[in-house]
Amino acid sequence: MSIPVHRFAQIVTDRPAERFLRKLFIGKPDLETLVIVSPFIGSLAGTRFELRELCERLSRTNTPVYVLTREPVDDYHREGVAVLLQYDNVEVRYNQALHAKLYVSWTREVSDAFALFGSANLTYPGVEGNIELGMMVFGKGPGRDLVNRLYKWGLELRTLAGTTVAKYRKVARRL
Amino acid sequence: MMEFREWFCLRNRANFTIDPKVNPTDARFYFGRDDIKDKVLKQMRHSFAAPGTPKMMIWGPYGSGKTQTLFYLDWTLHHDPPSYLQLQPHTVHLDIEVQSKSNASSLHMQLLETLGKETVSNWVRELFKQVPDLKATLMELTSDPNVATGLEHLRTFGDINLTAWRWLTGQTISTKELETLGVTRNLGQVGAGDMVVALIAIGKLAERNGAKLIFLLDEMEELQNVRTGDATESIHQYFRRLSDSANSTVGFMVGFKANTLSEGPRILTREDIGTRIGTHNYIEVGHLPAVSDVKRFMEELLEHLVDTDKANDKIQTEALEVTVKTYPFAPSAFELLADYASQDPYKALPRNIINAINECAIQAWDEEKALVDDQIVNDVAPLVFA
Repeated sequence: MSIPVHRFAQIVTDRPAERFLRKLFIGKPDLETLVIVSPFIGSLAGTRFELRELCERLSRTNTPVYVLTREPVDDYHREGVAVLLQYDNVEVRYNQALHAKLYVSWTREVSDAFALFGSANLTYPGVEGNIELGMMVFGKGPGRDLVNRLYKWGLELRTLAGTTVAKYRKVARRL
Repeated sequence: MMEFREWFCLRNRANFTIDPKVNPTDARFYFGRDDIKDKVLKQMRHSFAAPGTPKMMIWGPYGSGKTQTLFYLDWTLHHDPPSYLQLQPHTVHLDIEVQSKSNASSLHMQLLETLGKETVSNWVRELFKQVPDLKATLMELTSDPNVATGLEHLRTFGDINLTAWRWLTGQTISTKELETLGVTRNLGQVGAGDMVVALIAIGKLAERNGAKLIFLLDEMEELQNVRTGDATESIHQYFRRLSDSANSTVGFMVGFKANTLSEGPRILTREDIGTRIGTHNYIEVGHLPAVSDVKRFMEELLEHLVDTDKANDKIQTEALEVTVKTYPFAPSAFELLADYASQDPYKALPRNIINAINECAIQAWDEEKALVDDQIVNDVAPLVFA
């Protein structure tokens, strides 16, 4: 269920992470950067929006994906991170103190950008099963500044004390 | 062979580097970082509305653009001043030199020496022309009769003018010189507050002459060189007094290098200063966090440094496969450089990006290429960003 707060924000009580992924997959925004901040990440195998498919799509356009998560311990988390590590356009960093969940689709036109923050991890239960709550913010009107701030905050986590690099985005020499 | 500046249609400049210390008009540039620009300008505008004066700390890692921010603020003060600022800004740039035993006296002396004896003396002389009783007017500017007396002597020329100046800058003068000046003790003898009183009196003197005194102090991470406790405390007290709301006269904008605020000099980041100037006046100038930020920075830099009319002509005449937006970088080379620059956020710094752009252009010129291509970026960028 979605409760519009204003036209620039929605409280999402039904599968908020899936809502974000659906807009990302189906809306096909002119994506410039994707920021994923989630303490736990699974491969999302068996869901409608698998992590591998997301990475495949974004690698075709060489769109930077910045991922911040905890260093994996559980198998499902290892599998999720293993998928991410296969793609040159994906940067993966770890921070063991991470608890926030934030997803930002940053587009060439800020009015097309959107973000989700809330309780949902990017895991199978987080996307499909758990009771989660999130807020979607769209880059329209007052939402423009909010999405911008969320985007900047998400990127700043990359250089936060305690954050370590698992994998840089790879820059391929090309001629 | 054609000169570098002509080769790349540069607009009245020799290369792609930006340095307001070498080329003062470069101070007007602030590329690709609207959020920081808006924040510093807003804080500066608000500071004059109080009524008051700016008290700001600009911090960030090496090469992030702190110096450029200070120069940009200075340029804005002179060319697009806040409406609340009714006086002419009198800005003084200073890179403080600090040694292990430096204390408030050495800081105070550097501030005043950079401001200049003649500047202050002329302010006194101008005031003398305007008022019937100079001493009485100077006494209105300060609660300390010694400071009023010291300033009064600056009206004169010759030895006594110099002695008064030496006294005001906090240098120790002899008993005989104290007697000649008519002051009861050396400035600073009772602490840093003494010198701040003198500095604020000079600020008020400037205001009486239609000027607002603002110091721009760069490279203040040097304060971390101070090792002795007393010296540290005296400099801290100096800034604490200047930060106090009682000082609405002398402004300061300080730049210091730090990756996190807690890494900055404790003298400037202690809570008592933070609460006085307000935490919103500590402004971080950080990395360019994402590819899109780097691209925006590069686009704006090229837009301002390249003469777009000449570049358009060249693109058409030579049928170059490029638009003026990325010129002189081929579109793919532009993307590639942005990729290299943003790979590690710690290295995605304006200084590195400008350096890389300039070095790429130089190599293209050496190789007599009309455009910077992927091969040049592959050669140069890893050296800058690796």
